[in-house]
Amino acid sequence: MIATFEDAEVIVTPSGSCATMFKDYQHVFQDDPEWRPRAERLADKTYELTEFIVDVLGIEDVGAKLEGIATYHPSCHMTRLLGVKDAPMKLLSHVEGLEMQPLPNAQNCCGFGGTFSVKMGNISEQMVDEKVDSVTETKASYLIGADGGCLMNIGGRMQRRGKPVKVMHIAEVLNSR
Amino acid sequence: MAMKIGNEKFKDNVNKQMEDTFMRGAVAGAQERLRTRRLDAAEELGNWEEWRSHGEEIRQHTLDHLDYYLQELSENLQKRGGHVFFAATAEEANDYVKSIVKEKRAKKILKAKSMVTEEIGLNSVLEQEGCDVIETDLGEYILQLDDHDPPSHIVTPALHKNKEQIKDVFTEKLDYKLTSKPEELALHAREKLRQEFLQADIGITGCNFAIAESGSVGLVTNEGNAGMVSDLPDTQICVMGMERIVPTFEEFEVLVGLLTRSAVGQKLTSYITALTGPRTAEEVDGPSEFHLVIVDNGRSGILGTEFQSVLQCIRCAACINVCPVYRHIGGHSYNSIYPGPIGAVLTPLLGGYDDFKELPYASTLCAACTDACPVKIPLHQLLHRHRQVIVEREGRAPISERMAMKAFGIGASSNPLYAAGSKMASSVMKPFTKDETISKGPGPLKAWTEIRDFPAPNKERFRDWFKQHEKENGKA
Ligand code: SF4
Repeated sequence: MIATFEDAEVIVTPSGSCATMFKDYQHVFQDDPEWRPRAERLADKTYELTEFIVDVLGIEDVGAKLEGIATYHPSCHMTRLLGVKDAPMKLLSHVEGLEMQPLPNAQNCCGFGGTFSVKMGNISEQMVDEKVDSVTETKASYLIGADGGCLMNIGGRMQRRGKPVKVMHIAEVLNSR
Repeated sequence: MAMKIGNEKFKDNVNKQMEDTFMRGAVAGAQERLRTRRLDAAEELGNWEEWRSHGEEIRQHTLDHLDYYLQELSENLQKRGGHVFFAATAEEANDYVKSIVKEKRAKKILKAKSMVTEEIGLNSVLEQEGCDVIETDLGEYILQLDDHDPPSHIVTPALHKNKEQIKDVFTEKLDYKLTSKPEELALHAREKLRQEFLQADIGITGCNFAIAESGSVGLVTNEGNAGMVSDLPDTQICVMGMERIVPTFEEFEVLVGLLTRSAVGQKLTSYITALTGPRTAEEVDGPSEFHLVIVDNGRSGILGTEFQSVLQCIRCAACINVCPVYRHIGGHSYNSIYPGPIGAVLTPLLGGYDDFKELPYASTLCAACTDACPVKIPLHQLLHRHRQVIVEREGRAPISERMAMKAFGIGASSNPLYAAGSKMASSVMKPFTKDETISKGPGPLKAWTEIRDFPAPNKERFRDWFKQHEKENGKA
């Protein structure tokens, strides 16, 4: 991974947990004089997508347009480990026509957790069901998120339960015209 | 009862507990209340992060010099006329307490809430000796009445019961005739308990933090019952986990502030008691004999390992109150008196992997626990570390874990394979695809699609889209 990406000027990933992984990776090389600095340099120039747009490029309005009511699921690794909380909300607040509704119990994990979603399938099911219920409660027609795993989990469950909510990655929303 | 509270498989427990809608309603409600209160209390204090760091430093420092402070504590307590006993195991601790009970010919024993006495299973040992053991914490009292229902939470042990269920227990066991109003229930319990207070021979308490510089034992309670337990009976026994110690009252104050804010969202709980040995010649209150039992029971084995930080724990339960897994499976699923994230880390360390190796997997590693912990224990990292140790120890991951890894890992490991795979994916998955969705996947996808649909691989790949996009913008 380091060898593939280290020549890039910056690395931007559309996923909070991927960005966290890039940042955390240096711990693997704690005692390695060659790889540790390379991993650190990589970590320093890696950004999550919304963080990059807002904090690095200094843009909050990307000129996107999307009609409707939406709610946002703040993914665990992105908010708690990476500490990116406000950037997505800033970007979404400038999307023309989009009305944002707060998600009840937003801080609770959606039950994805990588292998947890299949290894502890029944617990995961209860967690994602609660999330789906919270989304439904907001009456939103769009569920927006910034992490593919969580969206795949919530979206998959929503579809199975026949909920007419469209799941969108925040990049798709920002790309709507 | 000892630390382990059941022999059922973790999976069976979970399935059973998740059927219990009463429990789940009670837990979810309590989680929301406690979480809001904790956040309010932290905000009111201001600079919460600094307080957390301070708490972490105090705990780390104490653990790094644990032998020194334990020595200081016991010397100071002995100077004040107290007896100190170091118990290497649960059995040694129980035997020591038993010997005092025998010597005093004690019949009635009052107890304040204490997790470590639950851990060593002290109550059942004393009951076998023919003693009448009475729990004075309201939650513990309810559980005791309900034929020793195990605790499901480390601060509010009867959290899994709602007030109707509590009323039913009282009606059945205490001939209670009033309503399910919490105040009426509490008053009734209190009246019953007061009668017991006066006749007790021995009082047993736990210890939130012992204070090395003075040889004191500090107790924090909501109901003031610890004060009664320690004042009235003539013989007093404190049981403490060997890590529950601070150097001086200054650190005690910081940690109590973190504890009460994190546990119940209060600046201070209603009662803080510091016990320092037996009563002196000038004092009128207090016991004439004072014993401190310091319990190791596996703790020294954690010191100096990569899991040492778990001993920083001040048993506030903030991690439990935010855990989304605990929220749905309740405390009893963990088969341990220590549930939730702290339990999933601590229980396998104290009780071994053989009985508890599922617990570190009962987490999405969402890090809500780490975020909430007032002494900054990296709980989700420790859970992850447990998984690594389990894999190293057994030479492989559990089957379900390997299947899961397959589902996520196939093809992603090699670049050309990934490119070809992602190009081909949509046609390979075609037989399973309907309306851009896979609802019954093959092989490793099966477990995923039992619960949710899986998006069919995109027909247009991002790489292709990006190239096209650049072309359109005249960059290629
Ligand atoms: S691990 Fe941290 S949050 Fe959990 S009970 Fe212990 S001190 Fe509290």
